[in-house]
Amino acid sequence: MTSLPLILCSLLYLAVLFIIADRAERRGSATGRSVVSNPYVYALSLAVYCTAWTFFGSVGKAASEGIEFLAVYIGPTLTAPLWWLLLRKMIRICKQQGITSIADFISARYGKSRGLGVLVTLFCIVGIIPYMSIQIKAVAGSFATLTGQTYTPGSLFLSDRAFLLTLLLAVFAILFGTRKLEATERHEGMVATIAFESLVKLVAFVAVGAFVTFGLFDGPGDIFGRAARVPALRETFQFGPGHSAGDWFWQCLISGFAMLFLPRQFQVAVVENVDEKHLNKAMWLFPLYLFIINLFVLPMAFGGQLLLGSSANTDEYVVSLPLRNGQLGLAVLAYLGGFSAATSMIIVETTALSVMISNNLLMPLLLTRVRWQARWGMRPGPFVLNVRRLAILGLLLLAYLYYRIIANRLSLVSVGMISFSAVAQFAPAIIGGLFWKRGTRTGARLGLLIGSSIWFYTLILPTLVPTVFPQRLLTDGPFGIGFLNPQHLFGLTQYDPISHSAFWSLLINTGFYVWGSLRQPVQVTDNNQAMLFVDVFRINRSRDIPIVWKGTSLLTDIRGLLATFFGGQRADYILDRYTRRHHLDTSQPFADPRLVAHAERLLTGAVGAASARILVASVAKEEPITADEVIQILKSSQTLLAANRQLTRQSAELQQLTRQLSDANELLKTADQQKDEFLSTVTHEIRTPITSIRALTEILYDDPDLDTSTRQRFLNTIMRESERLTRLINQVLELERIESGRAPLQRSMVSLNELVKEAADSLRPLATDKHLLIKTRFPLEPIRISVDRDRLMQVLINLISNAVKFSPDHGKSVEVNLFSSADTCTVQVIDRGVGIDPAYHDQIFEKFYQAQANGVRKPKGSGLGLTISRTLIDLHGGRLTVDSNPGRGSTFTILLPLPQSELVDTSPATPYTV
Amino acid sequence: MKSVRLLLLSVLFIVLLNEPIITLVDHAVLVLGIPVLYLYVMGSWALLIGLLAYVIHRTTATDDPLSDDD
Repeated sequence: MTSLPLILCSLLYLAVLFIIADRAERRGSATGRSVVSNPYVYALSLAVYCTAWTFFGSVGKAASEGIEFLAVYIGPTLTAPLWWLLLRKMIRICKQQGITSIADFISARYGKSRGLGVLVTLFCIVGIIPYMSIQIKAVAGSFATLTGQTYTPGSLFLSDRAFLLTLLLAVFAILFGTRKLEATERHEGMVATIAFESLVKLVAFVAVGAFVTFGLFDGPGDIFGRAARVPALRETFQFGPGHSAGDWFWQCLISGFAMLFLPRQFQVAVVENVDEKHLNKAMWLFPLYLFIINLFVLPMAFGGQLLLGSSANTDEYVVSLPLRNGQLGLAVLAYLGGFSAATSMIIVETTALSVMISNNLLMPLLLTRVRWQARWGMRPGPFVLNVRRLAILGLLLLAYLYYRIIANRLSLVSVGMISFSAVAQFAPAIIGGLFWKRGTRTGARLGLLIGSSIWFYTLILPTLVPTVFPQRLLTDGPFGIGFLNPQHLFGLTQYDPISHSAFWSLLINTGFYVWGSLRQPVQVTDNNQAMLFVDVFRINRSRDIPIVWKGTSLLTDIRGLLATFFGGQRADYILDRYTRRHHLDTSQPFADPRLVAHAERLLTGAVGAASARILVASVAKEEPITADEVIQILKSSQTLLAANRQLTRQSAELQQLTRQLSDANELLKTADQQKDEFLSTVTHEIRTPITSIRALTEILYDDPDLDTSTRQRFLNTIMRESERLTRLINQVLELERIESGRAPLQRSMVSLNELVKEAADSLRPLATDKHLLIKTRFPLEPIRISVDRDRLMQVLINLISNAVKFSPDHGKSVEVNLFSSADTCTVQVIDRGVGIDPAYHDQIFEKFYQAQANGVRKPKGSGLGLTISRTLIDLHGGRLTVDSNPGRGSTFTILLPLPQSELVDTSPATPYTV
Repeated sequence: MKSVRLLLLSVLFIVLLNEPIITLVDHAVLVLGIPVLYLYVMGSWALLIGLLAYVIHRTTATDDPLSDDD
């Protein structure tokens, strides 16, 4: 086949693409419903991932190393489930902030840092140039194969077909990528053509694959069966002998990253995304696309080796297999498939890179120049577009040069992997930036710089070896230092060059990112952007974008700024819509801060975050937010919080007071009731003896003839009842006196031993009447204590007499024990009498209560004895308790505190005592 | 919930398609006429895609679109 029909064919294909792009854009603007707004188109546009490298290189790599080429496609499939977390967040952030490139993304996340934007852009250019150069190589190579020439680069640029091809691609990319300046940087026409091209390359590749597998062979079983008989081919049925445990993993990892962070992938997946719901379908459709396009790679690789042997370049099997078997049409289709893979990659990649170059590299630089402002300040829009066009041309020329000098000698896949490893360096800064608020500009800059340096040292340097550096560099290391060998850094020989570089660069990159972030406190503007990124979903839901922007700018200035970039009509429309939607006050000459922020977002889309910042700052008298102000805001909310907390506390206190008050009221009510009961009990107690006295005196009075003995008995009863009455009244008075505090204790030092002995002695006669013994037990050392002697004696007599009273005749003895510990002394009065049910233990100390259960109604006594005893012991600061069970007797215990002053009292002469 | 399911799916297949599990089939043996390593990798790859589509479309039908925002 001659060159001319093929050239015509290529041009025709490009014309078709152009028509598709044009149609898509017209339809989009005419009906408002874009063809691009469709999950299938979105998924197909993601397939720009498959470049000429996939189309030609996969078969080549599979032919030499078997399944290892698949890591590049398995990696994105394994990470596809994470897109819902990762990619969706990126899309949301970019929409909210008007971000249009990966460099902008990183620069915006880290405080709209200009330096970072420049760094990312430069690194992208360095990393992607080799990748673009292999597209040129692949197309030039397949062209040569199809026209039957052995390809040799011409000595003059103009006579070199690859050079002409480069120029053609540049024109084409310029036509697609830089038609007009868009605030959103969306290219509907471009996306439509990319989707179409993805279909073309899929159909072409599957057609050739199916032809080889089922046309030339009898299905995959036939191919593998025949290959199994060739030892060299059989070896590649498993991982090669040089394959180490980690290679596959690291290649999967960097491919997963590349799928998201390559400038062109960022462009189609994030910037060109119309609706984030499209991700739902794309997340499995895109892996499915990868699966189908790789289905015939292995059969083709083995089929090619079986049929062609080493007579053809393995990278060209896709074209040479149908060509050598008389299928010219299929060969041309394969060529077009490869051509479409290469053009789609170059269009999107150069467009994305040119946006980065203009927005992050040139515009921030030029916008600060006064002379430039004076010359171009009025019409920067066309200037920006021209910068981008030149950038595209420049990028492609650089790619061509790289191809001429270096890539010509290397396989497609190895060069592609170098670019993948380059963009994988963005992973720590981006993933950290998405989920870790603490990540800072310093950390990102350090990580990127060091990671990319290692990447350059370990991957780019070795490709320059015979041309620029001597061979010794790879065998002995630089200056003969072995452990600095670029391909075996620090003596690591386990991995192949790609995995080796990925491991060291990512490890050290991440390490420095974290270290640099933690090294210093976060700055205010950094923190603001970090919050907008990490919490993007939460902010979105509350429909409230916090704008930390302070300053004043005239509305006319903002309008002017928008007009210079988007035209007067568009600017008016934007301002009008925003004002109406947010009900802003337009009577003021100064623009609302929200409007200024909105304008900055729109400009970010056109010229990048850093440039937009400079532009807005130039018209606004901006007062930077100081840390003081942020603290002030925080403080005011903290004061509110504190006030709120105090209010809560006060209301709780109030509640407690109310409760106490009602408790007191309840207590008063009970006391009142108790007083009533007391009065009725007292009157009852008094009436009983009075009634009996009165009845007896009446009998005596009415009947003077009573015999002497009866009269004597009656008088005796009257006397006893009167005594009882007196005693009762005395006790009531006494109790009243004690409780009201009108009978103060007359304390004096007494020996408790003597006191107890005296009380027991005085009650011995009473006990002897009942044939009882009173046993006393004392410690040898007398216990001296300060008490009111008479009162304590009264209590002891009361308790011992009770014990005697409730013990049966001839019963067991009553015991009185006295003992002391360090700070208390105890008197126990124990009887073996009827006992008291534990239920009444509290009640026996109440006034006029006499245990009902003991069956002895109205025994001797007033019912006030125990009440008085307990009151007296309480006055002494002690306690009177009872332990008893029915039928087992009772134990009354007096606990009295031993005076602590005793120590001081007994040693008054100690000179040290203060 | 959707994110968690997808994350688990990703982790599961990262384990299935990496060392050491992948070495279990790393032999030059033909199964159904196809080298066993190729069959295993392509098979699990297809399974992952199928499961992915299943999980996404089952949860998308029931989930509140905002429930996954955090």
